[in-house]
Amino acid sequence: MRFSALNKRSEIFLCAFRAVIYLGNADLDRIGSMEPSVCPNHTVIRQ
Amino acid sequence: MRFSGLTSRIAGKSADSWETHYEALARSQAGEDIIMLSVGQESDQLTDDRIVEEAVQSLRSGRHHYTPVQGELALRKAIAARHSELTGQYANEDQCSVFSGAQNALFAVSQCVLEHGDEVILVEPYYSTYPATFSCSGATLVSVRPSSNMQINPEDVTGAITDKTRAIVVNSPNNPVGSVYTREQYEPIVRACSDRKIWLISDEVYLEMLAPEDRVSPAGLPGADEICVTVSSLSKSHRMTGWRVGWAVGPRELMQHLYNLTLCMIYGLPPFIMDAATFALQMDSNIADIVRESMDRRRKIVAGLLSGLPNVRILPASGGMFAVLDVRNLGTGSMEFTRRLLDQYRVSLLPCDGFGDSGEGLVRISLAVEDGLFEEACQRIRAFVLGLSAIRTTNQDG
Repeated sequence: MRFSALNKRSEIFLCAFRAVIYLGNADLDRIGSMEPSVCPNHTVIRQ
Repeated sequence: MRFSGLTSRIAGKSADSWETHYEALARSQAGEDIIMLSVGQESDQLTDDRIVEEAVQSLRSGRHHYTPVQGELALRKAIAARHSELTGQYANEDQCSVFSGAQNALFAVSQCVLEHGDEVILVEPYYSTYPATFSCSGATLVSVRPSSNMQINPEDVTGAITDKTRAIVVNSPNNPVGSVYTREQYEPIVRACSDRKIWLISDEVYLEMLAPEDRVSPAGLPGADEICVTVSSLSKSHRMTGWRVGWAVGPRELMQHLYNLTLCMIYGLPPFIMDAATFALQMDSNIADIVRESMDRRRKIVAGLLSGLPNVRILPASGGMFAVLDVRNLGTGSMEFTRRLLDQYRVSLLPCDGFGDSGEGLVRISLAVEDGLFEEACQRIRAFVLGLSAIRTTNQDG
């Protein structure tokens, strides 16, 4: 079955989220201020 | 400031149809004697004490932290069990995602399976939030009109499929008209969806309120496992509208996408709400049966008081929480009918203009207030219709 392209976009967020966890910072309020993070599938996010 | 194109897709007739309701609500809260029949909520009934107590105990025990985004495991297991029992389709917890109500679940599913360039088929009349819910994704809505008795005609649905069709949305028992679909009606649709890899999204929030022998879900039919997404909630069946607990059950791959979306949308439900919801699904209860009996009783009251009136017709219904009055022969649109009824007789109904083109000229009457008040509301509607009909006759004679 086909899915919408949105799924790829939300996946990128998920990778960023996992990166935050990986970096040991699970404070969600700070996600918006995180520096660029890297995960196996996506290079993320803010410059 | 500029807004996105999405804002125009979520506005329009569907949103406008709620204007009278919200005005009535404000006037009622200000102390006016208004009978609210514009929303499907048993405002005079409370959630079962045992469910409330479970939430209180959960909260007091410290259950107020972040939760698993897709829903607590215990709740997803309870949902899977209830889904399997109601639909006949086996599901486990990996095929269930929890949302803040069925509306939220429908929106999330829409976002994950639809996009610009797709078509989504809706069977009229459809619940008034559907246009915004499904067009929000950018997909184009394709409406299929019902048969003359407001039933789904499967050939019309499958005939509307094109190469662009990505999803079909069904809702039985239907909101607003209360029609209940049969296995024979669903089978050709499931088969077409399975053959052409089209999602079948089934909104079943009123299903549990049917007698067990009348319940049919497309999810339980051969070929449905890969294509069917079932959306339901506790709102109607357990009198838990304000708790905002709903779910989607479908293929595991979809659940992964819904997880990703939920993560950046609501980030999970409150744990004490989910504990209460789990308890509600597992407790020994006949709440849905009681609700069904109340609705059936009021369907008879409204039929008794409004059938046989000049220029209007109560549509036949088998389930759900509403009766629908056809006012097209009165010469007023449904918006004007509800507006004048509110001003002159202080009863709030919902115009069905936002339920698709076939809803124009229909008004929805909620069956969710206690019998005495409901009968009083029907008497007021009756007096209003007789008055309008008399004026119409005088004008025609003149």
